[in-house]
Amino acid sequence: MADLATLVERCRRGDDLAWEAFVRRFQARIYGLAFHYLRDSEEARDVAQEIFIQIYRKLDSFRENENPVPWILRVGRNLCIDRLRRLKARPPAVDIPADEASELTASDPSPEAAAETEVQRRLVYRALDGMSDKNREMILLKEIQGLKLDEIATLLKEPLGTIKSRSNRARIELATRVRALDPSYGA
Amino acid sequence: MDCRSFLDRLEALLDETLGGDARRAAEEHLRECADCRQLVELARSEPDGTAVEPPDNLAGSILERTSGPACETARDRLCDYVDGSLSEIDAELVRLHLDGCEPCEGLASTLVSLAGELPTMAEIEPDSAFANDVLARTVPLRRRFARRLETLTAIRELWPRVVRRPRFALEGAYVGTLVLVLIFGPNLPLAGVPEKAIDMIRARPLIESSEARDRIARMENRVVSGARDIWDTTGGEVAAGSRRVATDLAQRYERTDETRSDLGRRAGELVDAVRDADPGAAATALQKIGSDLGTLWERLASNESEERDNPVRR
Repeated sequence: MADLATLVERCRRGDDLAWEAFVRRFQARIYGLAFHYLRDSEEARDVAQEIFIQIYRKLDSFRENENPVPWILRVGRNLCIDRLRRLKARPPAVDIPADEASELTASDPSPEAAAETEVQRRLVYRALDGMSDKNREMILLKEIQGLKLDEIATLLKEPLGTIKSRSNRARIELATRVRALDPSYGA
Repeated sequence: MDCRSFLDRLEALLDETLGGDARRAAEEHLRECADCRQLVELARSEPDGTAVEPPDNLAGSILERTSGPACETARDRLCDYVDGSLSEIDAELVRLHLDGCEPCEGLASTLVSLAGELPTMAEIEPDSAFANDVLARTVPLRRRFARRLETLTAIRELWPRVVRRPRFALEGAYVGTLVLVLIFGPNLPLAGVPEKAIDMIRARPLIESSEARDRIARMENRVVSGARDIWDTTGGEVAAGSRRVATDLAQRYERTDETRSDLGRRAGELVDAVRDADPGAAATALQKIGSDLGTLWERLASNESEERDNPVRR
Protein backbone atom coordinates (compact mmCIF):
# COMPACT_ATOMS: atom_id res chain seq x y z
CA MET A 1 0.00 0.00 0.00
CA ALA A 2 1.23 3.50 -0.85
CA ASP A 3 2.76 5.39 2.04
CA LEU A 4 0.56 8.03 3.54
CA ALA A 5 2.57 11.08 2.46
CA THR A 6 2.48 9.90 -1.17
CA LEU A 7 -1.24 9.25 -0.93
CA VAL A 8 -1.91 12.74 0.41
CA GLU A 9 0.33 14.28 -2.25
CA ARG A 10 -1.59 12.41 -4.97
CA CYS A 11 -4.86 13.67 -3.45
CA ARG A 12 -3.51 17.21 -3.63
CA ARG A 13 -2.83 16.74 -7.33
CA GLY A 14 -6.47 15.81 -7.89
CA ASP A 15 -6.05 12.03 -8.26
CA ASP A 16 -9.54 10.59 -7.66
CA LEU A 17 -8.25 7.09 -7.02
CA ALA A 18 -5.84 8.34 -4.37
CA TRP A 19 -8.69 10.17 -2.65
CA GLU A 20 -10.84 7.04 -2.67
CA ALA A 21 -7.95 5.03 -1.21
CA PHE A 22 -7.47 7.71 1.44
CA VAL A 23 -11.15 7.61 2.41
CA ARG A 24 -11.21 3.82 2.63
CA ARG A 25 -7.96 3.75 4.59
CA PHE A 26 -9.01 6.34 7.16
CA GLN A 27 -12.74 5.81 7.44
CA ALA A 28 -12.49 3.54 10.50
CA ARG A 29 -10.06 5.84 12.26
CA ILE A 30 -11.99 9.03 11.55
CA TYR A 31 -15.28 7.39 12.45
CA GLY A 32 -13.65 6.04 15.63
CA LEU A 33 -12.42 9.51 16.56
CA ALA A 34 -15.85 11.05 15.97
CA PHE A 35 -17.54 8.23 17.89
CA HIS A 36 -15.24 8.65 20.89
CA TYR A 37 -15.99 12.36 21.03
CA LEU A 38 -19.71 12.24 20.32
CA ARG A 39 -20.74 8.78 21.63
CA ASP A 40 -23.58 8.62 19.16
CA SER A 41 -23.28 6.53 16.02
CA GLU A 42 -25.50 8.75 13.84
CA GLU A 43 -23.80 11.97 14.92
CA ALA A 44 -20.42 10.30 14.53
CA ARG A 45 -21.26 9.16 11.00
CA ASP A 46 -22.39 12.63 10.01
CA VAL A 47 -19.38 14.39 11.54
CA ALA A 48 -16.99 11.82 10.07
CA GLN A 49 -18.29 12.71 6.60
CA GLU A 50 -17.85 16.41 7.39
CA ILE A 51 -14.29 15.70 8.51
CA PHE A 52 -13.45 14.08 5.18
CA ILE A 53 -15.00 16.97 3.25
CA GLN A 54 -13.04 19.46 5.34
CA ILE A 55 -9.84 17.46 4.82
CA TYR A 56 -10.47 17.54 1.06
CA ARG A 57 -10.98 21.31 1.16
CA LYS A 58 -7.84 21.84 3.22
CA LEU A 59 -5.53 19.57 1.22
CA ASP A 60 -3.73 22.67 -0.06
CA SER A 61 -2.90 23.81 3.46
CA PHE A 62 -1.17 20.52 4.25
CA ARG A 63 2.60 20.99 4.36
CA GLU A 64 4.58 18.31 2.53
CA ASN A 65 7.03 17.53 5.35
CA GLU A 66 4.31 17.33 7.97
CA ASN A 67 3.10 14.03 9.43
CA PRO A 68 -0.44 13.65 8.00
CA VAL A 69 -1.95 11.83 11.00
CA PRO A 70 -1.77 14.70 13.54
CA TRP A 71 -3.01 17.05 10.81
CA ILE A 72 -5.97 14.77 10.06
CA LEU A 73 -6.77 14.35 13.75
CA ARG A 74 -6.52 18.12 14.29
CA VAL A 75 -9.10 18.75 11.58
CA GLY A 76 -11.26 15.95 13.00
CA ARG A 77 -11.03 17.14 16.59
CA ASN A 78 -11.99 20.71 15.69
CA LEU A 79 -15.12 19.54 13.88
CA CYS A 80 -16.07 17.19 16.73
CA ILE A 81 -15.66 20.01 19.27
CA ASP A 82 -17.76 22.30 17.06
CA ARG A 83 -20.50 19.68 16.85
CA LEU A 84 -20.37 19.07 20.60
CA ARG A 85 -20.73 22.79 21.22
CA ARG A 86 -23.65 22.89 18.84
CA LEU A 87 -25.28 20.01 20.63
CA LYS A 88 -24.57 21.92 23.85
CA ALA A 89 -23.93 18.73 25.72
CA ARG A 90 -20.95 16.71 26.74
CA PRO A 91 -20.78 13.09 25.63
CA PRO A 92 -23.54 11.22 27.49
CA ALA A 93 -22.20 9.32 30.45
CA VAL A 94 -24.15 6.19 29.69
CA ASP A 95 -23.25 2.67 28.89
CA ILE A 96 -22.56 1.89 25.25
CA PRO A 97 -25.76 0.44 23.77
CA ALA A 98 -25.50 -3.21 22.84
CA ASP A 99 -25.91 -2.63 19.12
CA GLU A 100 -23.16 -0.01 19.13
CA ALA A 101 -20.89 -2.04 21.34
CA SER A 102 -21.07 -4.83 18.78
CA GLU A 103 -19.44 -2.45 16.30
CA LEU A 104 -16.46 -2.12 18.55
CA THR A 105 -15.39 -5.71 18.54
CA ALA A 106 -12.24 -6.61 16.71
CA SER A 107 -11.87 -9.64 14.47
CA ASP A 108 -11.07 -12.08 17.25
CA PRO A 109 -10.38 -15.70 16.47
CA SER A 110 -13.16 -17.16 18.56
CA PRO A 111 -16.62 -16.12 19.81
CA GLU A 112 -15.44 -16.49 23.40
CA ALA A 113 -12.48 -14.18 22.84
CA ALA A 114 -14.71 -11.73 20.97
CA ALA A 115 -17.18 -11.73 23.84
CA GLU A 116 -14.40 -11.16 26.35
CA THR A 117 -12.99 -8.29 24.28
CA GLU A 118 -16.45 -6.76 24.11
CA VAL A 119 -16.88 -6.99 27.85
CA GLN A 120 -13.48 -5.41 28.43
CA ARG A 121 -14.19 -2.58 26.03
CA ARG A 122 -17.54 -1.83 27.60
CA LEU A 123 -15.78 -1.70 30.91
CA VAL A 124 -13.22 0.77 29.56
CA TYR A 125 -15.98 2.88 28.01
CA ARG A 126 -17.83 3.00 31.32
CA ALA A 127 -14.62 4.07 33.07
CA LEU A 128 -13.99 6.74 30.41
CA ASP A 129 -17.52 8.08 30.83
CA GLY A 130 -16.83 8.94 34.46
CA MET A 131 -13.74 10.97 33.67
CA SER A 132 -13.45 14.71 33.15
CA ASP A 133 -13.56 15.98 29.55
CA LYS A 134 -9.90 17.00 29.61
CA ASN A 135 -8.63 13.69 30.97
CA ARG A 136 -10.86 11.69 28.63
CA GLU A 137 -9.53 13.68 25.67
CA MET A 138 -5.97 12.98 26.79
CA ILE A 139 -6.71 9.25 26.81
CA LEU A 140 -8.39 9.53 23.41
CA LEU A 141 -5.57 11.47 21.75
CA LYS A 142 -2.56 9.78 23.34
CA GLU A 143 -3.52 6.25 24.28
CA ILE A 144 -6.23 5.52 21.69
CA GLN A 145 -5.17 7.62 18.68
CA GLY A 146 -1.45 7.33 19.45
CA LEU A 147 -0.43 10.97 19.14
CA LYS A 148 2.88 11.96 20.72
CA LEU A 149 2.95 14.34 23.67
CA ASP A 150 4.48 17.18 21.65
CA GLU A 151 1.86 16.74 18.95
CA ILE A 152 -0.90 16.93 21.57
CA ALA A 153 0.75 20.01 23.10
CA THR A 154 0.68 21.68 19.67
CA LEU A 155 -2.90 20.59 19.04
CA LEU A 156 -4.22 21.77 22.40
CA LYS A 157 -1.88 24.81 22.54
CA GLU A 158 -0.64 23.82 26.01
CA PRO A 159 2.93 23.53 27.36
CA LEU A 160 4.51 20.10 26.94
CA GLY A 161 5.02 19.69 30.71
CA THR A 162 1.33 20.33 31.37
CA ILE A 163 0.34 17.77 28.75
CA LYS A 164 2.72 15.17 30.13
CA SER A 165 1.48 15.48 33.71
CA ARG A 166 -2.15 15.57 32.54
CA SER A 167 -1.56 12.44 30.50
CA ASN A 168 -0.14 10.60 33.51
CA ARG A 169 -2.99 11.74 35.73
CA ALA A 170 -5.53 10.64 33.13
CA ARG A 171 -3.98 7.18 32.81
CA ILE A 172 -3.88 6.68 36.57
CA GLU A 173 -7.48 7.89 36.85
CA LEU A 174 -8.64 5.53 34.11
CA ALA A 175 -6.80 2.57 35.65
CA THR A 176 -8.26 3.38 39.06
CA ARG A 177 -11.79 3.58 37.64
CA VAL A 178 -11.37 0.36 35.68
CA ARG A 179 -10.18 -1.45 38.82
CA ALA A 180 -13.08 -0.03 40.78
CA LEU A 181 -15.46 -1.51 38.20
CA ASP A 182 -13.59 -4.82 37.94
CA PRO A 183 -10.77 -5.50 40.42
CA SER A 184 -9.69 -8.52 38.40
CA TYR A 185 -9.03 -6.46 35.25
CA GLY A 186 -5.46 -6.95 34.10
CA ALA A 187 -4.73 -9.58 36.74
CA MET B 1 40.79 -7.48 79.16
CA ASP B 2 37.26 -6.50 80.09
CA CYS B 3 34.11 -7.18 78.08
CA ARG B 4 33.97 -3.67 76.56
CA SER B 5 37.55 -3.96 75.25
CA PHE B 6 36.75 -7.45 73.96
CA LEU B 7 33.68 -6.24 72.06
CA ASP B 8 35.80 -3.48 70.49
CA ARG B 9 38.08 -6.19 69.09
CA LEU B 10 35.38 -8.77 68.31
CA GLU B 11 35.03 -7.94 64.61
CA ALA B 12 38.77 -8.18 64.02
CA LEU B 13 38.85 -11.48 65.96
CA LEU B 14 36.06 -12.94 63.82
CA ASP B 15 37.81 -11.77 60.63
CA GLU B 16 41.02 -13.29 61.96
CA THR B 17 42.84 -10.04 61.50
CA LEU B 18 43.58 -9.58 65.17
CA GLY B 19 47.13 -10.53 65.94
CA GLY B 20 49.87 -10.56 68.57
CA ASP B 21 49.20 -9.63 72.16
CA ALA B 22 45.70 -8.38 71.46
CA ARG B 23 44.65 -11.76 70.09
CA ARG B 24 46.14 -13.62 73.05
CA ALA B 25 44.39 -11.24 75.48
CA ALA B 26 41.07 -11.72 73.65
CA GLU B 27 41.36 -15.52 73.71
CA GLU B 28 42.18 -15.41 77.41
CA HIS B 29 39.09 -13.26 78.02
CA LEU B 30 36.97 -15.75 76.06
CA ARG B 31 38.09 -18.59 78.28
CA GLU B 32 37.09 -16.61 81.39
CA CYS B 33 33.81 -14.93 80.17
CA ALA B 34 30.87 -17.21 79.32
CA ASP B 35 28.74 -14.37 77.91
CA CYS B 36 31.39 -13.33 75.41
CA ARG B 37 32.04 -16.97 74.53
CA GLN B 38 28.35 -17.46 73.76
CA LEU B 39 28.34 -14.29 71.65
CA VAL B 40 31.28 -15.48 69.57
CA GLU B 41 29.69 -18.89 69.06
CA LEU B 42 26.49 -17.24 67.88
CA ALA B 43 28.35 -14.98 65.52
CA ARG B 44 30.31 -17.89 64.04
CA SER B 45 27.29 -20.14 63.56
CA GLU B 46 25.85 -20.54 59.94
CA PRO B 47 22.28 -19.39 59.32
CA ASP B 48 20.09 -22.48 59.53
CA GLY B 49 17.03 -21.16 57.63
CA THR B 50 15.03 -20.74 60.75
CA ALA B 51 15.65 -17.03 60.95
CA VAL B 52 12.88 -15.11 62.60
CA GLU B 53 10.49 -13.52 60.10
CA PRO B 54 9.62 -9.91 60.76
CA PRO B 55 6.03 -9.32 61.84
CA ASP B 56 3.40 -8.54 59.19
CA ASN B 57 3.40 -5.01 57.86
CA LEU B 58 6.49 -4.08 59.83
CA ALA B 59 7.68 -1.94 56.93
CA GLY B 60 4.27 -0.28 56.72
CA SER B 61 4.30 0.52 60.43
CA ILE B 62 7.79 1.97 60.19
CA LEU B 63 6.82 4.10 57.18
CA GLU B 64 3.71 5.36 58.96
CA ARG B 65 5.89 6.52 61.83
CA THR B 66 8.49 8.10 59.52
CA SER B 67 7.93 9.33 55.96
CA GLY B 68 4.40 8.00 55.46
CA PRO B 69 3.33 5.62 52.66
CA ALA B 70 5.16 6.13 49.36
CA CYS B 71 2.16 5.21 47.19
CA GLU B 72 1.62 8.75 45.90
CA THR B 73 5.23 9.09 44.80
CA ALA B 74 5.13 5.63 43.24
CA ARG B 75 1.95 6.49 41.31
CA ASP B 76 3.56 9.66 39.99
CA ARG B 77 6.17 7.42 38.40
CA LEU B 78 3.96 4.47 37.58
CA CYS B 79 3.15 5.46 33.98
CA ASP B 80 6.80 6.00 33.16
CA TYR B 81 7.59 2.69 34.90
CA VAL B 82 5.03 0.87 32.73
CA ASP B 83 6.33 2.67 29.60
CA GLY B 84 9.92 1.70 30.53
CA SER B 85 11.06 5.32 30.48
CA LEU B 86 12.30 5.53 34.09
CA SER B 87 15.97 5.52 34.98
CA GLU B 88 17.35 2.22 36.25
CA ILE B 89 17.46 3.29 39.89
CA ASP B 90 13.95 4.82 39.82
CA ALA B 91 12.57 1.70 38.12
CA GLU B 92 14.18 -0.46 40.83
CA LEU B 93 12.67 1.70 43.59
CA VAL B 94 9.20 1.52 42.03
CA ARG B 95 9.53 -2.25 41.58
CA LEU B 96 10.45 -2.66 45.25
CA HIS B 97 7.41 -0.58 46.20
CA LEU B 98 5.15 -2.67 43.98
CA ASP B 99 6.50 -5.87 45.57
CA GLY B 100 5.21 -4.68 48.92
CA CYS B 101 2.08 -2.73 47.91
CA GLU B 102 -0.80 -4.73 46.50
CA PRO B 103 -3.01 -1.78 45.40
CA CYS B 104 -0.18 -0.15 43.48
CA GLU B 105 0.83 -3.48 41.97
CA GLY B 106 -2.76 -3.99 40.79
CA LEU B 107 -2.82 -0.50 39.34
CA ALA B 108 0.40 -1.19 37.45
CA SER B 109 -1.07 -4.42 36.03
CA THR B 110 -4.18 -2.51 34.91
CA LEU B 111 -2.02 0.15 33.25
CA VAL B 112 -0.15 -2.54 31.34
CA SER B 113 -3.42 -4.13 30.17
CA LEU B 114 -4.87 -0.77 29.16
CA ALA B 115 -1.73 0.08 27.20
CA GLY B 116 -2.45 -2.97 25.08
CA GLU B 117 -6.22 -2.49 24.92
CA LEU B 118 -6.65 1.23 24.21
CA PRO B 119 -4.80 1.46 20.84
CA THR B 120 -7.08 -1.25 19.44
CA MET B 121 -10.03 1.08 20.05
CA ALA B 122 -8.77 3.73 17.61
CA GLU B 123 -10.57 2.27 14.63
CA ILE B 124 -14.28 1.57 14.51
CA GLU B 125 -15.59 0.34 11.21
CA PRO B 126 -18.53 2.40 9.97
CA ASP B 127 -21.25 0.82 7.85
CA SER B 128 -20.33 -0.39 4.38
CA ALA B 129 -21.99 2.58 2.62
CA PHE B 130 -19.91 5.16 4.48
CA ALA B 131 -16.98 5.47 2.05
CA ASN B 132 -19.31 5.69 -0.96
CA ASP B 133 -21.32 8.41 0.79
CA VAL B 134 -18.16 10.42 1.45
CA LEU B 135 -17.01 10.01 -2.15
CA ALA B 136 -20.44 11.07 -3.43
CA ARG B 137 -20.41 14.18 -1.23
CA THR B 138 -16.94 15.17 -2.45
CA VAL B 139 -17.82 14.87 -6.18
CA PRO B 140 -18.74 18.59 -6.59
CA LEU B 141 -15.61 19.56 -4.69
CA ARG B 142 -13.51 17.34 -6.90
CA ARG B 143 -14.99 18.93 -10.04
CA ARG B 144 -14.23 22.41 -8.75
CA PHE B 145 -10.77 21.25 -7.73
CA ALA B 146 -10.18 19.86 -11.23
CA ARG B 147 -11.33 23.15 -12.83
CA ARG B 148 -9.01 25.10 -10.57
CA LEU B 149 -6.11 22.83 -11.47
CA GLU B 150 -6.88 23.33 -15.17
CA THR B 151 -6.94 27.11 -14.72
CA LEU B 152 -3.64 27.10 -12.85
CA THR B 153 -2.06 24.87 -15.49
CA ALA B 154 -3.34 27.17 -18.25
CA ILE B 155 -1.85 30.21 -16.50
CA ARG B 156 1.46 28.40 -16.05
CA GLU B 157 1.53 27.55 -19.75
CA LEU B 158 0.41 31.00 -20.89
CA TRP B 159 2.89 33.05 -18.87
CA PRO B 160 6.09 32.01 -20.70
CA ARG B 161 4.40 32.72 -24.04
CA VAL B 162 3.39 36.20 -22.83
CA VAL B 163 6.91 36.93 -21.61
CA ARG B 164 8.62 35.66 -24.76
CA ARG B 165 6.53 37.48 -27.39
CA PRO B 166 8.50 40.31 -29.12
CA ARG B 167 6.03 43.02 -28.20
CA PHE B 168 6.64 42.38 -24.50
CA ALA B 169 10.23 43.66 -24.86
CA LEU B 170 9.02 46.83 -26.57
CA GLU B 171 6.42 47.37 -23.89
CA GLY B 172 9.08 46.88 -21.23
CA ALA B 173 11.40 49.39 -22.90
CA TYR B 174 8.54 51.91 -23.19
CA VAL B 175 7.69 51.64 -19.50
CA GLY B 176 11.38 51.80 -18.48
CA THR B 177 11.93 55.01 -20.48
CA LEU B 178 8.86 56.58 -18.95
CA VAL B 179 10.09 55.75 -15.47
CA LEU B 180 13.51 57.34 -16.16
CA VAL B 181 11.93 60.50 -17.57
CA LEU B 182 9.53 60.75 -14.65
CA ILE B 183 12.36 60.39 -12.13
CA PHE B 184 15.11 62.54 -13.67
CA GLY B 185 13.09 64.79 -16.00
CA PRO B 186 13.20 68.63 -15.76
CA ASN B 187 11.15 70.45 -13.12
CA LEU B 188 10.99 67.28 -11.02
CA PRO B 189 12.45 66.83 -7.50
CA LEU B 190 15.26 64.52 -8.66
CA ALA B 191 16.25 66.59 -11.72
CA GLY B 192 19.43 68.02 -10.16
CA VAL B 193 20.62 64.84 -8.49
CA PRO B 194 23.67 64.18 -10.77
CA GLU B 195 25.04 67.71 -10.28
CA LYS B 196 24.40 67.56 -6.55
CA ALA B 197 26.28 64.30 -6.37
CA ILE B 198 29.29 65.87 -8.06
CA ASP B 199 29.14 68.82 -5.61
CA MET B 200 29.12 66.43 -2.68
CA ILE B 201 32.12 64.57 -4.00
CA ARG B 202 33.92 67.88 -4.51
CA ALA B 203 33.15 68.97 -0.96
CA ARG B 204 34.87 65.81 0.35
CA PRO B 205 38.21 65.45 -1.45
CA LEU B 206 39.33 61.87 -1.15
CA ILE B 207 42.70 62.29 -2.81
CA GLU B 208 45.32 64.43 -1.11
CA SER B 209 47.53 64.93 -4.18
CA SER B 210 46.83 68.43 -5.50
CA GLU B 211 47.78 67.42 -9.05
CA ALA B 212 45.31 64.54 -9.12
CA ARG B 213 42.68 66.70 -7.44
CA ASP B 214 43.15 69.45 -10.06
CA ARG B 215 42.94 66.91 -12.85
CA ILE B 216 39.70 65.48 -11.43
CA ALA B 217 38.30 69.01 -10.99
CA ARG B 218 39.08 69.80 -14.63
CA MET B 219 37.39 66.56 -15.71
CA GLU B 220 34.34 67.40 -13.62
CA ASN B 221 34.13 70.87 -15.16
CA ARG B 222 34.35 69.41 -18.65
CA VAL B 223 31.64 66.84 -17.87
CA VAL B 224 29.34 69.45 -16.31
CA SER B 225 29.85 72.02 -19.08
CA GLY B 226 29.40 69.31 -21.74
CA ALA B 227 26.21 68.12 -20.10
CA ARG B 228 24.94 71.72 -19.90
CA ASP B 229 25.68 72.28 -23.61
CA ILE B 230 23.77 69.12 -24.49
CA TRP B 231 20.88 70.10 -22.26
CA ASP B 232 20.77 73.64 -23.72
CA THR B 233 20.43 72.29 -27.24
CA THR B 234 18.10 69.33 -26.60
CA GLY B 235 16.64 69.93 -23.13
CA GLY B 236 13.74 72.02 -24.37
CA GLU B 237 12.65 69.29 -26.74
CA VAL B 238 13.03 66.57 -24.09
CA ALA B 239 11.04 68.61 -21.58
CA ALA B 240 8.28 69.26 -24.09
CA GLY B 241 8.29 65.61 -25.09
CA SER B 242 8.09 64.39 -21.51
CA ARG B 243 5.25 66.82 -20.80
CA ARG B 244 3.40 65.41 -23.82
CA VAL B 245 4.05 61.87 -22.57
CA ALA B 246 2.88 62.75 -19.07
CA THR B 247 -0.32 64.33 -20.42
CA ASP B 248 -0.93 61.31 -22.64
CA LEU B 249 -0.37 58.96 -19.69
CA ALA B 250 -2.79 60.94 -17.51
CA GLN B 251 -5.46 60.75 -20.23
CA ARG B 252 -4.95 57.00 -20.66
CA TYR B 253 -5.08 56.50 -16.90
CA GLU B 254 -8.40 58.36 -16.74
CA ARG B 255 -9.81 56.09 -19.43
CA THR B 256 -9.15 53.06 -17.19
CA ASP B 257 -11.22 54.35 -14.25
CA GLU B 258 -14.08 51.95 -14.85
CA THR B 259 -11.83 48.93 -15.46
CA ARG B 260 -9.79 49.66 -12.34
CA SER B 261 -12.95 49.76 -10.29
CA ASP B 262 -13.97 46.39 -11.83
CA LEU B 263 -10.55 44.99 -10.96
CA GLY B 264 -10.93 46.10 -7.34
CA ARG B 265 -14.28 44.34 -7.14
CA ARG B 266 -12.84 41.15 -8.68
CA ALA B 267 -9.96 41.18 -6.19
CA GLY B 268 -12.53 41.36 -3.37
CA GLU B 269 -14.37 38.38 -4.89
CA LEU B 270 -11.08 36.45 -5.10
CA VAL B 271 -10.24 37.20 -1.46
CA ASP B 272 -13.74 36.07 -0.41
CA ALA B 273 -13.38 32.86 -2.42
CA VAL B 274 -9.98 32.10 -0.87
CA ARG B 275 -11.32 32.83 2.60
CA ASP B 276 -14.30 30.51 1.99
CA ALA B 277 -11.95 27.87 0.51
CA ASP B 278 -14.11 27.82 -2.62
CA PRO B 279 -11.80 26.89 -5.51
CA GLY B 280 -14.54 27.23 -8.13
CA ALA B 281 -15.37 30.81 -7.19
CA ALA B 282 -11.65 31.61 -6.94
CA ALA B 283 -11.04 30.26 -10.45
CA THR B 284 -13.97 32.31 -11.81
CA ALA B 285 -12.67 35.46 -10.10
CA LEU B 286 -9.19 34.80 -11.53
CA GLN B 287 -10.62 34.43 -15.03
CA LYS B 288 -12.51 37.73 -14.66
CA ILE B 289 -9.38 39.42 -13.34
CA GLY B 290 -7.47 38.14 -16.38
CA SER B 291 -10.17 39.49 -18.70
CA ASP B 292 -10.23 42.87 -16.89
CA LEU B 293 -6.44 43.10 -17.04
CA GLY B 294 -6.68 42.58 -20.81
CA THR B 295 -9.24 45.39 -21.08
CA LEU B 296 -7.11 47.62 -18.86
CA TRP B 297 -4.07 47.04 -21.03
CA GLU B 298 -6.03 47.67 -24.23
CA ARG B 299 -7.25 50.99 -22.84
CA LEU B 300 -3.79 51.97 -21.66
CA ALA B 301 -2.12 50.96 -24.95
CA SER B 302 -4.76 52.26 -27.40
CA ASN B 303 -4.56 55.78 -28.81
CA GLU B 304 -8.05 57.29 -28.84
CA SER B 305 -7.16 60.12 -31.17
CA GLU B 306 -5.83 57.54 -33.68
CA GLU B 307 -9.00 55.51 -33.24
CA ARG B 308 -11.12 58.58 -33.83
CA ASP B 309 -9.14 59.40 -36.96
CA ASN B 310 -9.21 55.85 -38.26
CA PRO B 311 -12.14 53.87 -36.77
CA VAL B 312 -11.84 51.10 -39.39
CA ARG B 313 -8.50 50.01 -37.87
CA ARG B 314 -10.19 49.23 -34.62
